[in-house]
Amino acid sequence: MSIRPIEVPKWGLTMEEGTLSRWLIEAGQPFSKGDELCEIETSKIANALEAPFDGVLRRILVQPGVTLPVGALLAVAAPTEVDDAAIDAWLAARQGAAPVPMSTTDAVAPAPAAAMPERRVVSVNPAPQGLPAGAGVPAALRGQTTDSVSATSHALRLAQREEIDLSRVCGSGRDGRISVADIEQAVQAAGGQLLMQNPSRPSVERGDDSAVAATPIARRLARSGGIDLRDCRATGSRGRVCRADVEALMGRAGASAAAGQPAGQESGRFEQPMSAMRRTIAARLQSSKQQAPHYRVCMDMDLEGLLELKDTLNRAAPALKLSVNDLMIKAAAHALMAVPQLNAQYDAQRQVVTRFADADIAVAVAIDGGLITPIIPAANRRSLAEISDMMRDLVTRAQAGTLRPSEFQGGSFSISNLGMYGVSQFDAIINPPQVAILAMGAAEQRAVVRDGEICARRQLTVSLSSDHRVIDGALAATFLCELRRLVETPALLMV
Amino acid sequence: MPDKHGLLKAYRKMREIREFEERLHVENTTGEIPGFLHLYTGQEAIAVGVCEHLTDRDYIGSTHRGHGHCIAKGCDLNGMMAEIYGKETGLCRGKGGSMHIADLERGMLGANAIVGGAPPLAVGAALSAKTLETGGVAVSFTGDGGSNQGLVFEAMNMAVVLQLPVIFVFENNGYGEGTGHDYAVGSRDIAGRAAGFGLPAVKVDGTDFFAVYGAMETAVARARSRQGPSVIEAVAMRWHGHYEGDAMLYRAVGEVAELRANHDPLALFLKRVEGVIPQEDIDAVDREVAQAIDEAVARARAANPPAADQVFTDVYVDY
Amino acid sequence: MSIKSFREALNEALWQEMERDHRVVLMGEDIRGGNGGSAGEVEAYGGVLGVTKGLWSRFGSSRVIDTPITESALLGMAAGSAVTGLRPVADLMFMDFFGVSHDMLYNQAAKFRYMFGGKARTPMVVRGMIGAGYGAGAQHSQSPYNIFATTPGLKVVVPSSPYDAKGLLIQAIRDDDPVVFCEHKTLYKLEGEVPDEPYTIPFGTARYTREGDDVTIIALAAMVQQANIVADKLAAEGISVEVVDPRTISPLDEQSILESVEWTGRVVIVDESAARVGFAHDVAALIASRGFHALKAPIELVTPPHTPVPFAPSLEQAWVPNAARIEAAVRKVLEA
Repeated sequence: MSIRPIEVPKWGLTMEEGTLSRWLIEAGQPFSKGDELCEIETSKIANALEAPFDGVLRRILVQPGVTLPVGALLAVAAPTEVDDAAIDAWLAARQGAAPVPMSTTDAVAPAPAAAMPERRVVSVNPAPQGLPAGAGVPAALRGQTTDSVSATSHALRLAQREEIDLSRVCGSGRDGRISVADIEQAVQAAGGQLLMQNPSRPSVERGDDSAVAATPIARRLARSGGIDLRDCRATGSRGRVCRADVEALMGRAGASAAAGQPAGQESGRFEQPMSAMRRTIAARLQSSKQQAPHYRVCMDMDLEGLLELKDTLNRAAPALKLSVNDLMIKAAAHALMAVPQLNAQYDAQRQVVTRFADADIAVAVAIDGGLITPIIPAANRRSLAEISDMMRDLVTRAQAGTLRPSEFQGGSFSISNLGMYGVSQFDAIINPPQVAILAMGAAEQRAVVRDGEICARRQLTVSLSSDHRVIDGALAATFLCELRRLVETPALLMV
Repeated sequence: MPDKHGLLKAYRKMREIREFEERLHVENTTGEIPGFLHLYTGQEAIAVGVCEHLTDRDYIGSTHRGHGHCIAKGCDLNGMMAEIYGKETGLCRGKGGSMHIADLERGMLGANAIVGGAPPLAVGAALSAKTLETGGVAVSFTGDGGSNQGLVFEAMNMAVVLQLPVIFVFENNGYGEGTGHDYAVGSRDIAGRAAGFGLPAVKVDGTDFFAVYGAMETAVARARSRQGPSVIEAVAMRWHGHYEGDAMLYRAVGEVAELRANHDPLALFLKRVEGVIPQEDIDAVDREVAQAIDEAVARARAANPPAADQVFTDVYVDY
Repeated sequence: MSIKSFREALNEALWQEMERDHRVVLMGEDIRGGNGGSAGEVEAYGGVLGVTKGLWSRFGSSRVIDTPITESALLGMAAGSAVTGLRPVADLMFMDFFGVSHDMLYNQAAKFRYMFGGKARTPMVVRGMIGAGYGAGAQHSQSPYNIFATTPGLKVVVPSSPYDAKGLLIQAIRDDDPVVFCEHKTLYKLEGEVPDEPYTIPFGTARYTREGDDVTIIALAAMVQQANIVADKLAAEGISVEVVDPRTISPLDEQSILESVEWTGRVVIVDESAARVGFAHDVAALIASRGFHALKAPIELVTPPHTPVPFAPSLEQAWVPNAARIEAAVRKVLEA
């Protein structure tokens, strides 16, 4: 029972498949070893398959035009005395190994691989924590990179992240190619600072890095900047993570990395490099003061009514613990609903003012080494209790350095309160791109004239700084009038 | 054969080579010349006999003993001397030295420190000439030592297969470094062996300018008329060592003295042209050449070495 | 633009450059095939794996020159003709054969310009196959590009895709310096989008096939695909892998490599060429000396063992770096 297969041969190192182009022998015909049985084409050659043994061709299994891998069955040979049923059985037994024809076209078509310059972004990490994108980039370089520029992959990504227009950056590489270093240099030359933070996967879950040896300053800085100490290199003394290591992660610390710890008392002074947060605050507020024409409108407000309401509520519901600040936030939110022009953001480049339906009030909170402005969203629709609770939570987390970007980025209006320091009045700087900011002073006992008589009343002074590009004086004054109306008749806050 | 003008020109070239090499032999002992020197004295008739048939559009590839070929091909003496002294005014700006002197504008593909290196390069130059139809030919010079190198055989075969206009000149100067050719060349017959590759090969007396000149005339005519490559084996012993400083213990006592006395190519040449070229012309050439060599040495000494930043230049055309 | 194989892309590059410049001449063993055979004037091979097929029919024997099997003379002829006016593209067939031909590249072509004080220009290209994976045995499976790269005066190109292959080969032919162009034999059938018109890719510019934030893999030739496989697999787990393909190792795009390392801080270099003194070690030294402050973990190298390439498929597969080993290295570098 010598049933023997005729298979696709392997001709050459790289041949993987062949296409049967035509049979040179018919089923039923005998052949001798060396006779040409059929013609097979590969991507390189067309050749004839020579019979590897003597036999009779009993069954042709593959028709011309079919492409099969090397080793696939083309036909079956067997002596004439072997019957068809036996051949069927033999074929069935072999069926598992028989590969499926790949195609019926003449051309050998290997599976198409990946297409031309594929550059897939596999970044699955959330947006970087820390300060807003492009915060330190000078206006001269801000923009979108539109034309195709010659730049390295990372330079393009950095430009996109930090909103830099690469047509304004000079490239030092081959054929003027722009590198990350070129962008850094351009930003620094324009007086800005880049904060390049890779949201790289932390070694373990973000959480307790207290086991990492670190200097106290490094630990505090890491906390406030949202850095996990386990992601830092440890170059400090006794193998600890030091400030420079944390700053290296927070941004290009440049000078500070070189300067290291302050040297000491040779002449009674020491240099302290600015932290990344400090530099960002500096850049933003300088830009705000320079770009927005600030003017201030002040007003004194009588607090007797407000303070009485506060005391009443706090007595009735001790869990509340309302503060004057909470009430002022609510009052300001209602005032913004009445004078909505101040509840806005201004885009100078596009010359567009965006008004908001709700008052998202950002409240300035002092933290270690700087300040941050967590937001009470839709303060106009929140109860005093909610505002109070939210403020407490936001302040705690602000000081712990665990605010999420969405919690401090944005806002349609800002309030800043220095009353707890006894400041009677001050002028705040607008938080861009908002159009106004309210600065509150301390609630104090003052001697005032009412109905022709001098009496003692608790009052405070507010100062509204407005951007004169968008807000005119009358409007600012109108807002303050409305605010005073609400503050001095606090029952209106319930309406 | 060249006319009187041509003969005088040939003599001048041979005299330049002789004085150049002999002067280097002397100057080298001062220690001012860096690196190795391989002197050509005794073989002048070969370089000149061959190169008198060539122009700037023809290329030659040479050996480590290449000063003679350079001068015969028309390279500037001052530039050559400065290069040997390692100065920035050298033909290769001091970057090559004695073993790599080149001047592509004169068709000199360079002295080559790799034994047997010239033939494949000459084959390449011949391919350029044939493909670009410049009418040029290429010549390689190889010693008896180099004649055994595999790539030399490959080059000859290639030239025959592709029918290229190249002439392989084998200078049998008696020794490959410290080993006699009668030991190292198994067939004892370089030309005979080369003929086995399928190209005409002749053997001539390398101290006889006219013999070399005549053989080269035939070979060049063949090449220029697209009849393919040829081989010339020219026999002329070298007078100095393989390199300057070689004690030459492999040579019999008195061998060099005998060569100087009886096998001086320049003396033989002068005897042949006696009566054809006036003596005062010969004397004038001798004087001019001596002066030119003096000047070359003086200039080379006075020139500056290349500046340190030249280490980095000319590795690539652009990178 | 159309889908072409790596092989077709190379063929097209040669075709278009030979059309454009009559000085471009191909030379090699059986780049045409059939000279002197009993079948008469036919194009019997068109290159061992078909890269030069069709070129002799179009351009003839004066521009597509079959040589005897004499690699020294082949490269010597290429060097000599390059420095005297032609722009030869020599086909060394298997780069493993550099052993019998190397003086003409190493001591001659690479050094002409420097030794002759800037007065020579040697615009030659030497093409040849590299790489293991086809059971071709120890003498036909090596990737000696690290050896070429150590030689000043040579440029070394190692493409990984059809698009890169065509652009870089055209660039190599137009380049005025000697270029060694290494074609990984297992990539010849790889298909991809390739512009139909001629174009160049400048040397010394890397390509990122994947952008990511957590780990960088630096890979060449066939290893780029393996690295991409690993990157895509790990993306599903939330691990973001960046794959850098230098494309040319001399000149090397150091900046793109260092920028990636500065971003991710973790590097795996995978290289088929050598277990020692190879491309991977060169790049590792570059990173260690210029990117050290950015590293969060030691550099991981994935190379073959320091042995010749074995023949049996089971052994060869163990020899060549693969996706599994690369993945293991990536995981290791993430945990360090």
